[in-house]
Amino acid sequence: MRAPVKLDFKPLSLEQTAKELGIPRKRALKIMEMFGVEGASRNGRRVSRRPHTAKTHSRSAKASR
Amino acid sequence: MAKAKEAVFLNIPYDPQFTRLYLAYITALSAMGFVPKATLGITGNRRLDRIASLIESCQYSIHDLSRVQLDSHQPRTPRFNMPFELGLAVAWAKEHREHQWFVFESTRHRLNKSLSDLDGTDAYIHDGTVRGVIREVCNAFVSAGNQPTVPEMMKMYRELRRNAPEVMKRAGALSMFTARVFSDLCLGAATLRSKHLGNR
Repeated sequence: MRAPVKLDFKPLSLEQTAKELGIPRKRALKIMEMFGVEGASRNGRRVSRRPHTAKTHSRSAKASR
Repeated sequence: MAKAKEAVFLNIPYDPQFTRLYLAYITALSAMGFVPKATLGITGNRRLDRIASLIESCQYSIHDLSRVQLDSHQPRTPRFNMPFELGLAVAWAKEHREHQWFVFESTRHRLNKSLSDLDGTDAYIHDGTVRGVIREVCNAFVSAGNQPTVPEMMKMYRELRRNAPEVMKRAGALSMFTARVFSDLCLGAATLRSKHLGNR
């Protein structure tokens, strides 16, 4: 058995992955949300998965309501 | 077509009986950071050219030759697409050394009988199981960051499988083997990688 191939690239971002797969942005956001990345926000930038507890008045906290 | 390091050509049977392993490949390759590519959705009279272009656009290709038996529909025939596409990849790799191809099988030593031209090639034997596919993808590749573990990938697989009917429903598809469902599942698996493994 040959040695495993060491991959020398970093995974693409989800947005880049969607683009590479030819998925339109709106559909991509729905897929990401279905699979539990709530940070698929309206401006297309993924935010942290961690819940915002300290600053509940932040923009992302409002958007998630 | 530009060659993408993260692109892997996935050459598998499009068959309902293969659904679990199809999801396992998507999960494992996505967990490694790959973007899987398949011939789903490629139709028409230039199909062969487009398949060749797709292989050429990928640095790696995975060829599952486990489905060697006759199909159930009349006239009963074996499937030649997978070994044919493997042949295209091997020919391409002869001229372009950066392309690396991998053969996966479910049964040890069967490849020596079904395709003896590949004698001396070590196939990755997945035993026809989800865990086996994930294990063998881990044997074939080591990711740039921390390697995802098999239990982590099994968890991702279960979550992908649980959501697959909804992906199909939203696509209005009756089969998982359509271009749209495939790409949505790949993005779903990448999302699970991001959720469970982060940027490592």
